[in-house]
Amino acid sequence: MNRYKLLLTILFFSIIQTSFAQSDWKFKPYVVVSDTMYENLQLPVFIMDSVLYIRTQDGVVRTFPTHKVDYISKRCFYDRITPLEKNRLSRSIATGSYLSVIGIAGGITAIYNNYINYKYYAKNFILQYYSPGGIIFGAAMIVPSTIAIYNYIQRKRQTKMILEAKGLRFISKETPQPEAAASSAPEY
Amino acid sequence: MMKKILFFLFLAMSYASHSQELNADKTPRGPFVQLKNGMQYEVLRPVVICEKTCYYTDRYSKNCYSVPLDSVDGFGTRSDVRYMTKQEFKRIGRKPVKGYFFGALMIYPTGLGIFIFSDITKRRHIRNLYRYSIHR
Repeated sequence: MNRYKLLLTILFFSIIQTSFAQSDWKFKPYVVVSDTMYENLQLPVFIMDSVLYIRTQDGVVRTFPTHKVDYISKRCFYDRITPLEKNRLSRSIATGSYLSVIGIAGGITAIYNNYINYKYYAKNFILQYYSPGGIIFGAAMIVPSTIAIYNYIQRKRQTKMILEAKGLRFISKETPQPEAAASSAPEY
Repeated sequence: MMKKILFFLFLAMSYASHSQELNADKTPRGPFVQLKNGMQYEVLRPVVICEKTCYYTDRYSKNCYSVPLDSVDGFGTRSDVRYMTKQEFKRIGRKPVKGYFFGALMIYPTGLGIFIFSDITKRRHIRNLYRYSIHR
């Protein structure tokens, strides 16, 4: 019986290994465009208005028309931005972020509280009742909040990529400014 | 008393010397828009990109301007640039901004009101950009 179990376990892992080896999960995100492979891409990878947006390893944004795209690997988790979702790119996120952070904090508190209860009831032989309700409630608060924050970050990144694709750049304070640069005062 | 007077004098002198600084020597600290001719404009958040036009509010004069996107070089990293469709820009620009009362209610004790006000302020700026922008 034990041998049978071992055989089944080995078979299970072999199948998993084979299917993993045949898929492209083990490779870093890549796309194939007109027989050219772009590897080690930074996320997000998305399609908007029939244009594929990618950010290469060097941080350069490149765009390709979708009819030239041959393949997008699974680890790109590529996203298609519909006209409705395009409007969402510009939404403010302050209130949503606040609520999400509160949700995560509340979820952690619920799980911790449930853990304290578990420790108490586990020691007690008479009161051995334990309900995992707190964990479920905590997870139900943490998971959507985390997804919401992830979506906010992705939206910001997507907006940045769209703008960079239009030839605009984001200038940090450390970037040396041109000599002619001046504030708005002399213009008015 | 003497200490207070000296402290007040120090503040007054620092303020006076600060206001006499040439603007041309300043590097913008907050959000800014940089044009291709090298000019930098300190702006209020957010900056809106709609189709082939960039809309921004000048930080000092509070005037709203629109410039063609071809003449824009870049933005400060903290400029909160929004890419907007024409429909969305029109929708925000035409609708009145609501939520002040709710925001005021939610300030205490949770602090949520501060974030609501932040969103409302930005929305008001976008509305102003739609309504009052001057083509430059």
